[in-house]
Formats: sequence, structure tokens, C-alpha cells
Amino acid sequence: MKTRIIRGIAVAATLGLLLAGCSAGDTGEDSQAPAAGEDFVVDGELIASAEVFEAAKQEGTLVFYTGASEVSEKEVTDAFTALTDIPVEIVRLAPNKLQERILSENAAGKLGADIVRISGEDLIVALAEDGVFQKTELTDDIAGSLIAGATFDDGLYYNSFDRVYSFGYNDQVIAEADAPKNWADLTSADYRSQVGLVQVGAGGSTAALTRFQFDELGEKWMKDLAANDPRVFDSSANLTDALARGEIGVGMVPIGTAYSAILSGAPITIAMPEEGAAAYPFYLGQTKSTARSNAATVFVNWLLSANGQSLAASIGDYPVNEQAPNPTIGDVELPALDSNFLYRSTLEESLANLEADAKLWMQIFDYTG
Amino acid sequence: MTTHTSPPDATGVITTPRGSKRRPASSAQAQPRKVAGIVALYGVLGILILLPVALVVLSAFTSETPRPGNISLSNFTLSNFGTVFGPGAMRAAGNSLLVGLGGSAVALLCGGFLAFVTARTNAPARKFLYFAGLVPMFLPSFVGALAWGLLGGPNAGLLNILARDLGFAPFMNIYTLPGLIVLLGIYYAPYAFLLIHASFSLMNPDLEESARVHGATPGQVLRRVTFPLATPAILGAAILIFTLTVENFPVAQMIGSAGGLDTLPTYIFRLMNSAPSRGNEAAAVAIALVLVVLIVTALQRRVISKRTFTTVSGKGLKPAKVDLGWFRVPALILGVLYFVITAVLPIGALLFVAMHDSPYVASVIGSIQAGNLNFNAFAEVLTNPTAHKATMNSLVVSISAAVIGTVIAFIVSYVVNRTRVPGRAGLGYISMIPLAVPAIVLGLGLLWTWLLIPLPVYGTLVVMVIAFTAAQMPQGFQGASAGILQIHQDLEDSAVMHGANRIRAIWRVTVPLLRVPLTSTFLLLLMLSMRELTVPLFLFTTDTRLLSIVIFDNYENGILQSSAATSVLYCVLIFLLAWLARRFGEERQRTS
Repeated sequence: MKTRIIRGIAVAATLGLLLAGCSAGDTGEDSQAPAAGEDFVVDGELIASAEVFEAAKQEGTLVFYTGASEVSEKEVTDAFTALTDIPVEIVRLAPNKLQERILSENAAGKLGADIVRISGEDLIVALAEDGVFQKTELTDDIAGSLIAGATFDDGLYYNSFDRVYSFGYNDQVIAEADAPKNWADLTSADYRSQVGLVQVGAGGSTAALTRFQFDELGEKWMKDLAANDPRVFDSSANLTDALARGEIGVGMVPIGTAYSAILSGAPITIAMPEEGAAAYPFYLGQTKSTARSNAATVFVNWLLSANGQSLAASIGDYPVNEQAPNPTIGDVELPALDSNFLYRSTLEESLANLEADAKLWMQIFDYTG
Repeated sequence: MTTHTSPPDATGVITTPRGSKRRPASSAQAQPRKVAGIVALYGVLGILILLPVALVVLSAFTSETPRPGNISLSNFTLSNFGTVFGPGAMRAAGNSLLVGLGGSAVALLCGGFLAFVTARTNAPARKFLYFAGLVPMFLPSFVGALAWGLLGGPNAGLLNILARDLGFAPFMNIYTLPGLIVLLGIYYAPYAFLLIHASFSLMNPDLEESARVHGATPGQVLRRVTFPLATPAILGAAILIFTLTVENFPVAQMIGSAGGLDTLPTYIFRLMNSAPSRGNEAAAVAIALVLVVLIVTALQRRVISKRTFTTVSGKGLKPAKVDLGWFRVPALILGVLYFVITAVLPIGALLFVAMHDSPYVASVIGSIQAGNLNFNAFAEVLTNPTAHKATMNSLVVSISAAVIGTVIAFIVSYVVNRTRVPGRAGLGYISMIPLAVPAIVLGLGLLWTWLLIPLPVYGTLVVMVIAFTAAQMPQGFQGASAGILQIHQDLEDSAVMHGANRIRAIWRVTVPLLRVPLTSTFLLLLMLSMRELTVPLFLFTTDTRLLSIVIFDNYENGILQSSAATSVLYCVLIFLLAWLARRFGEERQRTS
């Protein structure tokens, strides 16, 4: 009997290993990190002084809690590790769950995160008020090239990029000639029962989109949309998936989310509507409880540097560093920051409208929540 | 608690013919030990189940979420319960009721039919039918929902695309109430199957035999003897499935929400995940759900306690087979159909989507003919370190949780059903509580609990094992109880009378007799742990991610192909584990 069990365990272990492949060593390639005693400078921007950088390297693995997609964050942390030799561990949760987790851990004095990145004005403010963050000092280079309004509470947390909420269509289901170009088209009978959108309470992203739609497109447009029998989803990833498969023809999507689906083969074309699109920030801060403050400081500085920001720009997010390039999705360059395309609300405006917008939205779409 | 006047056989004092008093110890000696034992059990269940639930209850009555360090006994309010009677919750509750009733009916019909056919009839290919009865267990409900979402979507469902390929009109939309009911029913049918099968195969043939001797027709025997004897199992299964379907989150979320249908768990989930988070109101709605289930459980206990269902006594067991006659082949065909719907189609859909070179499928037949299929997605998953780690984590956590869960469930069930220790009934009720608490809420309660308790388990696999043991206590308790209720006390007592102490009697008599139900219970808990998704959602860290979480994460992140590929491998792993567990069980059976 024992041999059979052992054989069984061996089979299970083999399958486990098969399922794994080789897991060893995804770092340890050629190090691009500066030599000892040198300042950490990338593309001419000072990210950290030699002293801070040396200390940072002694602090071990950074723990990064994020509400952004794991795939894009993994690219970011891999790039950072390649530059610095500082390993980063990602914990990814949807923003609302992430906030609950952070508040609980923080209250118990067991906060695991060194750095937090999250969207949603109410979420970041609640975290800050709970004393989760400490100020991060930026080098003069980085501080000098940040766009206005990216720094909050004297550096307690920062806007780390603006993601854009637009809409896209399945180019296999809808031919380019018949495709909607602007928000106004979505209320047309041509797209009846074909449009998907995410419910207002899903997070900071939908709150920003709703604000934009009420403010720029108006309540009547919203009512016309509701009358066009749209399908309401719970998260933008689910919607993107349904859009990719052709379950819906048109869907409102964050460009970053849709673009990563496009990269994995989804037949989605993103629209650049004339009325503009909503921007929503992903906030970034280092925790008060971190034991790796130097490494966290280096990470924040790098994320906000032109080098770190160009990664965000490459997947269609608007950078907060003036030196970083304009965002692109593949060959398409998005309109410049100072064009009228981007609709931004300040943190205060967002907070002030959050509840009323949500209530009205739910009423219009007969959505209980 | 009521006090019991113990009947003579309950004192534990046995008078031998010569008049000397022997083991077990007199009640005066045993009492402190019994009290200590029951206090310990209350302690274990208290920390496992009551504390997390208490934190949730507390949050239903306050305006602040009770996080560690933030527990205030002020700010009490009843306003959260306003949500319970709001239109949203009422609509969701109505749907939940329909889903629960419909889902249980479908599950009992499918599971009960297969259990009867495999345990008590001469149907052909009974081994295959037994396998078919278990098969949905290898497919976690969220994987089933994922697959059926791919198969039955009104526009891009593979079955509809296939219909279009063949020149028919699209015919199915899974995103409807009937779709949700049937899906939940078929994926919870194995509960009915396992519980009812255990009951049918433990039945004493004498009772049926005597009915036949007295002139009953085979139909009358079934109606008047066999099915009534299986009442605890059928009722237990019905209650279990009703509550599980009412409480199911992933299927309702993936299928119901997509069709604009809310159930209570998806409603709670949305409340918890709305911005700003409405955890307090979610807790209030959850409490309403808990109350409903407690009432249903109490009703079930009343029905069972009215009669005795003991059928296993000291005699040999070999229930007679019922001759199905002309129905033998149709029975097999029905079984095969069930197998196709629960396993072949969904696995086929997952394989197809994982292998298709793009997420958009214009034509199923066209894609196959054009060779648009490849194994890249599988290669990606197989070489992914995250998947490796998650696999090992899932194995370690599930096996540990199933072993610990079975042991605790057996002890609690024994105390509740076999002893007369005061306060024992409460243990039964506590054990059933997690069934009524939506996994998503329980997960949050567990997070708060294990952040509060000053043991360094948070962030480790240990906290996962603890969480799974707590969450699956009801299934373990039901499984163990269904078995214990069918074994007559006399068997164990006669061992005691012959000089064994109680523990030894349990170990040598009751446990071996319960081998089949206890193995089933272990298997059930193992499968549940492997499949569990919602409870660990709040507890995992990067190092303690489970396979289910990786799949759901990929689904949530819209990486559907990777999610489908991982799902297929996940099902293979679950199947392999179950096969091993069964092999192990058979070995034990042969050697003992």
C-alpha cells in the first residue's frame, strides 16, 4: 500500500512540476545597476543619490500592493529590478478589496506593503486619513519635471499616471464603416442592445467616466443610452472579455485594459471620440510602516521619472512627467495632454460629485446597489 | 439548554450478570472529562467559526467596519437593515429563492437518480455511471460557469456559433434564470449523489426483504421502505444544496450578473465592492441570509429527530438489486447525457478556447478546418512559475484542510448524535453556520479574526488551512452525521460491554463501519478545498496564492485563454487527486 501511495504522491508531484516548468531565476540577467558609490541616474534624471541607493540595495525585496493590472505592473517591476537589482513582489487586488485589506492590515499593525498604488479618490483619501502613508522625498530632477497637480499632501502620495476611459468596438462584429466614432453614436438605434458598460460603483475609473459623461455629454445622453438597452457589467475586465469574444459589439473600456487585450489578440479597435475621454489617476505612496524606506523611495522616484513614465505611456496611459513621451497604443499616438481630449477632475471635484453621480446613474439605469 | 434525565443506557454504567460495575467509568467520573471535552470543542468551533461571524454581525449593527484596533461598541445603528428591505435586496432575495429551490430540485433529481441507479439497480456500466455522478466535483463551479459562459452566450457562445455553422439559428442563452438554475443544479448534484449513494449502500436489506415477503411489489418496496429509509440523506442533501446554491457566488456572478440577475451573494458582493464600500450593509444582508438558513436547518433537524432511521445493525449488509427491466438502457443513456452536459461540453469548450489562436471565434468548424488551434496557451501555463507555486499551495492546503476537517467533523458529529452531553446540540448549529454565511463575508470575518489573534499565521498557508476547515465544517458535519445516524449505537456499546473503553470502541467499531461515509467526507472536503475560490480571496498573499485564485485573477484581468488553459490543467489535477484518494480508500478497505 505504501508504495502505491508513494507512487501516487510522485505522480501528483510530477504534475505539479509539469504545471510549473522551471520556476527558478527570472532575475539575475545582466545587471544594469550603477556601480557602488555612484548616483542612480537614468536618462539624465537623478533617481537617487549614491547613499540612498546603496542603502536601498541592502533592504531586500520590496512589497508592492497595487490595484492596477498585474500584467502591466509585472512589466514595470521587472524593468525596475533590471535597472537596480532590487527585487519587487506584487500583491494585486481590485482597488476596493485592496483598500479593505490595507486598512485591516494597518489597523492590526501588520501592513505587508512598502508601496501602494491604487485608483479611486475616496480610496486614496481614506488610506491617507488612516495614516497608511509617509512622505516620499523626490529628487530635484523628478520633482521639477512633474506636471502640476500630481503631488498631494506635500508628497504623502502622488498621481503616478492617468489612465483614459474611452470605448472600443469588436472589429470582427462591426465593420469599420459602421463603427461608432463618438460618444453621441452610442445612443443610436444601430447599436441597440449591443453596448456594454461597467456599473458606476465598480471603482474610481467608472466614477471618473460617469463624471465626464454627466458633465460633457449630459443627463439626456445618459438617459438615451439607458433606453438603448445596454448590458451592464461588474468590472471592465469582464466587459473587455465579452467585447473580445463578440458577446457585445461596443464597450466602454479603459484604454490600458483594452490595449493589453488587443496585444493578446482581441479584435478590438479603440475609439478616440471627439467629445474627449475621461482620465483617472492611479495614486502612489510609500507606507509609514515600511522597513525599506530607501528602496521604496528609489522605486517611487523611478516610477515618476521619465524612464518609468515612458512605460506607462507605452500602454496608452498619460504620464505625469513632462519629459516622458506622449502615450501611444501601438502605432497610434494619443492626443497631447494639453489638447482638449482629456477630461480631468481634481481630487476635490471627484469627491464632491461621487455620491450624487452614483445615485443618479443607478436611477437612470434602474440599477440596484 | 434543556437538561436531560438520562435513560439507563446513557449513564455509561453497565451491570454485568455478576453484578459488578465495569467500564465505562461511572457518570460521576466521566462528567468533568465530558465537560472539559465539550468546552474544548466549543472553543475550537468558537475560534474557527463564531469569532469571524461575530465580527461580521458586529459590523451589521454599527456604522463602522470592525477592523482590528477599530472595534468600538458605540455607533450602534439599525440603519444597515434598511438595505435588507430595500428593492435591490428584495429582488435579489426573490431570485435567490428561485435559484435555491430550482437548483436543489435539479440537483436532487440528477444526483438521486444516479445514486439509486448505481447503488441499487442492475443498470449496465454502473462504474461509469458512478464516475459520471462524481464528475462535476472535478469541475469547480466557477470553472463550469466559465465554460458554460463560453458555450451558451447568446451572441458568441460556441454552441450558438456551431448552430450558425450548421445553418441553424442561435438557440441558447445561458445568461437567464433557467440557465443559472440548471447550471447550479448540475454542479451541485454530486452532493446529492454522494450522500444518497452512501445511504442506499448502507441500507439493511432485511427491511426490504420482509416487505417483499409480505407481498409488496418492487415499486411498493421502493416507495414504502427504501426511499423513506434514505430520508435523512435526501433531506440532508436537499438542505445542503439549497443553502449552497443560495450562497453560491462565482456562478451567480459569472452567469447571473451578466444577464442582469442579482442574487443575494452577488448583491452582497457589490455592496462590499462598491465605492465607497458598504460592508456594514452587506453584513446586514448576510445576517438575513444566515437567519433563513438556520431556520431551514432547524426544520430539518425536527424532521429527522421525529423518527429513527437506524438501518445498520450487527447483521451482514448486502442490499438487493432492483431489476430495471426495459429501463436499463434509457437509464444509461440519461447518465451519458448528464456526463456530456457536465463534463464533455465544458471541458471541450475550455480546450477549444485555450487552443484557439485569438479570443474571437467566427466559426467553430471553420477554425478546426483552418487549423487555428495550438497548444501555446498550455505551454505558457506549464512554464509559468506562478502556476507552479499555486499548484503546490493548493495541494498542501487542500489535503491538510480535508484531513483536519474530517477529524473535527467526525468528533463533533459523534458528540452531537451519539452522546447526551448537555449543550451538544449547539455544536451542531455552530457547525452549520458557515453554510449560511456567504463565503465572501466569511472570508472577511476570517481576515479580521486572524489579524486580531496574536499568532503568526496571517500571510502563511496555515491561515488558509484554518479558513478552509472553518468554511467547510457544514459539509463535513453533514457527511459524518449522515453516516453516524445509520449505525446503531448497540454495535459500539457491545464493544464497551465487552471491556473496551469508549474511545477504543469508537476507533475499532464505529470508525471502520463509517469507512465509506468518512472517506466520502474526506473526498468531499478535499474537492471543496481544491475548488474553493471565494474564502481565500481576502487571505492570500503573493506567496500563498492558490490555483483557483490564479484562474479567477486571469479571468478578472480578461486573460481568458490563460484562464481556460489553467482551468483544464486544474481539473486534471483535481481528478488525479480524487482518483488517488479513492485508490487509497480501496486499499484500506481491502487491507482492513
